[in-house]
Amino acid sequence: MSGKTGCRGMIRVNKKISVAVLCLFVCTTAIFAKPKKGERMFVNVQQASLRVKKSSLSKETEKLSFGDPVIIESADKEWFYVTSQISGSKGWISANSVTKHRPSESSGYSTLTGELALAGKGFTEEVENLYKENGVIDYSLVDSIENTSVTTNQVTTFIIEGNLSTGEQK
Amino acid sequence: MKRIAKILAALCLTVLLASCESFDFANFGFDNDFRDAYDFYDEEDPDSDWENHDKQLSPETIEALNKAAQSMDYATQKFTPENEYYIGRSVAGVILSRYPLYNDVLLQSYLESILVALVANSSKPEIYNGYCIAVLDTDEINAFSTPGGHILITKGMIKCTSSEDELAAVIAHEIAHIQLGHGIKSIKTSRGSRAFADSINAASSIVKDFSPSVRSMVMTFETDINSITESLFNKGYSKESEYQADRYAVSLLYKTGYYPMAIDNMLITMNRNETQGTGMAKTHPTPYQRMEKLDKEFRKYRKAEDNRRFRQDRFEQRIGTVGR
Repeated sequence: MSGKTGCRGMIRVNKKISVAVLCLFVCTTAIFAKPKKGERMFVNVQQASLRVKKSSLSKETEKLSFGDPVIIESADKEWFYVTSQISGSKGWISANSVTKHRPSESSGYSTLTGELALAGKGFTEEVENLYKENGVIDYSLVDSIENTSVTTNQVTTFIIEGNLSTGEQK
Repeated sequence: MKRIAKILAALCLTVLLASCESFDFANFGFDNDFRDAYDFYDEEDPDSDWENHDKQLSPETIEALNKAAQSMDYATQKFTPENEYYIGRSVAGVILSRYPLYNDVLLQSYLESILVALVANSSKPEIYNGYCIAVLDTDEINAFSTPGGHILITKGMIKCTSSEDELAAVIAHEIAHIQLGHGIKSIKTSRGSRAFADSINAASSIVKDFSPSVRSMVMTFETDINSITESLFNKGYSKESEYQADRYAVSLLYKTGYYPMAIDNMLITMNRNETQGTGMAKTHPTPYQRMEKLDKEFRKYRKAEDNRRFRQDRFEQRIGTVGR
């Protein structure tokens, strides 16, 4: 009798542990969930590219700008296949180049104007312009290093000749 | 046991609710918990006429100002890629005010090609304004990166490399700092300290003609730039951040097709060439400590092929100008 009770107790305990593990699994899945088909996301870099394949070196079909909306068609770990809401073009975009929230909304109070809007956006070009007034930093030097010269074709050749990987995901 | 199960279930539910509310797929990992960073405006400041100015403002404007103050708190709790880029530009500007640029077109395009190849194999091939790289004309052994994607490597650092793979290891380590958000984390740490308010007050008193909210923003900008440059030049990031960047670099080298153990060779040369208390020796764990930490990591890459020979000729040609 006592053996039966002990067995039932064990089953009950196992059930509880299973429920807890299941809960944990559901939570983890929710946290790392990929966006769903049809979900709208927004470009959060100054310029993002829609590409034919899952590689930043593959052929670019269209350039998207900061804040442009895209609709998710399918999602991999690091690349999403999307449709541009503006043009209707489809292509792969890096998962890190889009965000669930419209970037301009994230800074809040977007209806404010002038100084108020400026303060609400965080560190932006306008803040840099104000900071420039103290004349400590020579931003022209920064501009000069930001002008990169290599083209995608040159890098692709460089990769092939060096026996390296283009980073294309299957 | 029943209680434990209940606690576990409650914990899971809490995590689930919290994650649903705050999780942002793209900016995952940048959960900033800043204190009231803008409570430093000194109303007693004799130079400020805003106390009098406020008296002339309409109730609507005052309400709007309050809204702006609230929105500033919100905006800085989370750095947008745009914010990271503009902080990064100024940090790069500070570095370039300390060291002259080394201009060599061939070397420049060579470094850019290595950078783009590495970034194409990383999980963040695109950032707000892309990545860029330049050489600093100094024999000091050092390399820097900013949250905005700027990478600056000294001639002294390049002289510590004897293959493209070793040079790629240096660049991959800097990419790691950018992609893992170490610069922004150093701001977070700084803002959590008492010294933050003091340094805000010490920030230059520019833009006096603007509202308190805009002045606060610009002064915070200056303080945050100082936090990162202090980490880059003097304090360094935490040792764990450096080891993490090394592990990330090895993985990125492997994914790109470089020989991951090349980082070890670079560290050996660095160990030989470094002068204590200067450059990287001042801000990083010793090369020996870094090598020791990597030994465990290298076990994952035992099967990696040593194919450095494919790239040795072009390395010799392009790097020759730096001088050895």
